[in-house]
Amino acid sequence: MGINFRNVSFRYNKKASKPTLDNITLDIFKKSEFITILGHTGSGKSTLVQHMNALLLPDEGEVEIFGKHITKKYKDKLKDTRKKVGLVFQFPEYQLFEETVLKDIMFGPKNFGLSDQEAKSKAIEACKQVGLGEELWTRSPFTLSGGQMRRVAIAGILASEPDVLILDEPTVGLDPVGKKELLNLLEDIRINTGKTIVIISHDMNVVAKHATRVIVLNDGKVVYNGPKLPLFSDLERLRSFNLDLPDSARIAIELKEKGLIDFDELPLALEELRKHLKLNLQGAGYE
Amino acid sequence: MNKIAFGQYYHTDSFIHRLDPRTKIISLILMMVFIFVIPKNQFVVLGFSVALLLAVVFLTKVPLIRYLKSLKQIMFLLIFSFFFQALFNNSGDLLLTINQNISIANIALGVVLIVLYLFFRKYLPLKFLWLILLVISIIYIFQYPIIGQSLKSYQLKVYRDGVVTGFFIIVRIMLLIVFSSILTLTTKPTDLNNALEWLMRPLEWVKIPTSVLAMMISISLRFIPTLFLETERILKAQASRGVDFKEGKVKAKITQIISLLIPMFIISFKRAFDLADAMEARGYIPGAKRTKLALLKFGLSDYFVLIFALGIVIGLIVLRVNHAL
Amino acid sequence: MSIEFKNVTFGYTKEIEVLKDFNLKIEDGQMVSIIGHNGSGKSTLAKLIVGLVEACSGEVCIDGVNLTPENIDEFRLKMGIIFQNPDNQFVGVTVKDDIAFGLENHNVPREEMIKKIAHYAKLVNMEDYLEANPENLSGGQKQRVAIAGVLAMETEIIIFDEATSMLDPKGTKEIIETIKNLKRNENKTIIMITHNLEEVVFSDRVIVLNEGKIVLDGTPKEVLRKREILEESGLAVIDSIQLISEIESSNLPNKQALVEALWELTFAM
Repeated sequence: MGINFRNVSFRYNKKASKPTLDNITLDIFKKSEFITILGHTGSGKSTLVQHMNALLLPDEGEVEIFGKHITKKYKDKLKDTRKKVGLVFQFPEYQLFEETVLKDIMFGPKNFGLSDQEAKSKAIEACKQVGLGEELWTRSPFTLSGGQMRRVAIAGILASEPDVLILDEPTVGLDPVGKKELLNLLEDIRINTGKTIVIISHDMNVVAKHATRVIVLNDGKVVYNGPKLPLFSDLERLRSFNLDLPDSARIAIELKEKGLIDFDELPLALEELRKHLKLNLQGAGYE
Repeated sequence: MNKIAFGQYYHTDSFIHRLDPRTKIISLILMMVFIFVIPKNQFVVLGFSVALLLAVVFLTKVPLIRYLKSLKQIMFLLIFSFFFQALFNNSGDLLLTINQNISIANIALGVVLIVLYLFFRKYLPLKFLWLILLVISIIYIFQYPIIGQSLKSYQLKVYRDGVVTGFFIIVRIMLLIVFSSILTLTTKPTDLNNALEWLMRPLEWVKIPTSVLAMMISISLRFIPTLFLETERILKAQASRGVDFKEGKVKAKITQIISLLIPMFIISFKRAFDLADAMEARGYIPGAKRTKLALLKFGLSDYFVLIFALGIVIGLIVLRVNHAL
Repeated sequence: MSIEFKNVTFGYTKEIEVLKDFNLKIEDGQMVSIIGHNGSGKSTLAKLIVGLVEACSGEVCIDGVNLTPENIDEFRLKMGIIFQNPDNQFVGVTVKDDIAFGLENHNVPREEMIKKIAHYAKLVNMEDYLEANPENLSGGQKQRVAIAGVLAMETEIIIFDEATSMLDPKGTKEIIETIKNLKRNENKTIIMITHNLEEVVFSDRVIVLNEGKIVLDGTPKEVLRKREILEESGLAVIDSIQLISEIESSNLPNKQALVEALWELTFAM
């Protein structure tokens, strides 16, 4: 069970010749994946994820979301789908509006039919998941820092216990510490609850460190759907997708060219690069 | 999204499009005066106005259907005005007498017809024609009691003056609307703003900050499409949290509306603060003297149009004052 | 134009002081990067320089003259700042109008304005977009328009206040390239405020702020090697710097060559 795209095409402007999504066939399963969706601006990433919780309906083809067959003509209720597939937009802190942090997080669950009591307990659980301390629960969300507000917004989606969590550029606008914390949080959620995390990102370092699968969109088509190593190992193809290498991979290639290190498989993240340099991790005392 | 920012603006390259926006505004005002100064019963002058209007419409090279769209909005008002004048203005020659005998039966039938009209309105093309048909049908059936006794009898009398006045009213209003549409269809909102700023400048003598007002309008125009996009985004974000305007009790609906309004307020306030900082940092001082990139320049065509418009207004007023009309 | 902070104390509210007895001098023609975590006070420095906020005590001096509400309008003619949010600083209905905004405020005559707009739009590669509306532009494009607007005012001080933090990598690259060109071709005093270490490598001087205090001040190379202090200050150390630090304190046989190569890489970014 999951989200399955079958020959999906979509145009914002129905008269446009070039579709925003062009014959997409894709599968996203609920099995603890960390999927990153990459692609240049305008390649259709946001449009793609908005089909995943039926905010947009396909013009052609079908999206099957946890058993529901969503096509152009779908007229039934979509609330259940919105609950199962949690979508967090860019700068999600802008969706906050309630008087207290807890009330705002309860908004989603209550819309999905939970009682005040149930919604509250789910909200508290979500707060713990994202690391929002109890002292913040009764405060107005607008008195929190940007990073905290973002966590409240994410908690607001987590509280409805979606099976798949999709985030559109979750780290944009955060400072380095905030970024690291958020990504670790997502990783924790994936490992502890087994949910699949899908993020749209432009940061190759994030991909290198966290992704279990990479989907690349180019001009509305899926041009790559698989593990990260083959993607980054083929430099020419990578460039044709308008993508760059993660920092560590770039360093590794440069060092190899200078004859200073050697490797068979391209190291993508810092940990792998360290191993190739045979750096003693314990001795140096780093993480 | 651009539809909102440009309002009704329709781009073609026509003589009218190329006129200075000030010319168009001033001409519109002059035309408004002209239309109201036309004496009643002067069908020739009215006909001249309509011919003039059609000529200008033709010159704009904008598809006719755009003009019809703006008329569509007020059709109901026009039909109402006409019937009101035709049926209740009792001066001049008597043209027509219609006996009305109201009974329960024909009231019931009238109500049924009204309900049917309201129900099928969405599917009917040219709704106002059907509305006219409805009114005429009701007047027709009210002539006969059909079943049973007539409860009240009276006569609808249609007099010549009523019909003529009604006719003049609706033609005047239509002329006004179409002339106004000519302005909005052929002039970009920013050009309109620049023209208004120039025209309002005399108000600065009475301490009204027209340049500041013009800047406010300009910024609003700049941000309308952005706000539109953001509203859509917030709607989608809250929809992802289960907001569904089709269901829910009143209390839930209120919270849902608040979930849209508050974020929009906050985004707008933040924007206002950021923008004020940016404008201040770039040296903007409200009310201070500043140069302008946009230049409004009158050309030969502008003088021609202005003189023509002024000419026909003055001509009409003179003729009226001299009782020639 | 030089900028000097003399014992400046400032807080947005009475309780929290963002800066306390803060001292800093930036020489004319220098390019300085100021980095720090969110809330370290870096954006506040920018706002103090352009007079959007006033110091509670101490002096903010431009070329030795203390800024006051009376002379700020005059000094603003010599300063330009590009903010973080591409939309919230775009005033004009079109690109052309936005670049003109600052020029109009500076009472530049119209013929000159037209020339400057064309010239500076070309400098940032936006000459084909003069009639474009902002809602049809990407974040990077809007920021380039903002830069063109500031450049057109031909100020002596240019401040970039986290100008790339809301952009995607492509947009960020565009802006960094533009700033690099600016440094190469002009002699202005440039201040770059950011929290990304990769962006500071081509500055003359890097200042690290932590909780309103300067914790590091030196050349990029000097500052970047202080890994621990950078981490304490809430900054993410880039991979190459992390490696340099680890390799230097290791026993690897070829550590000299490695470190050199890594430094080269860092500065080529």
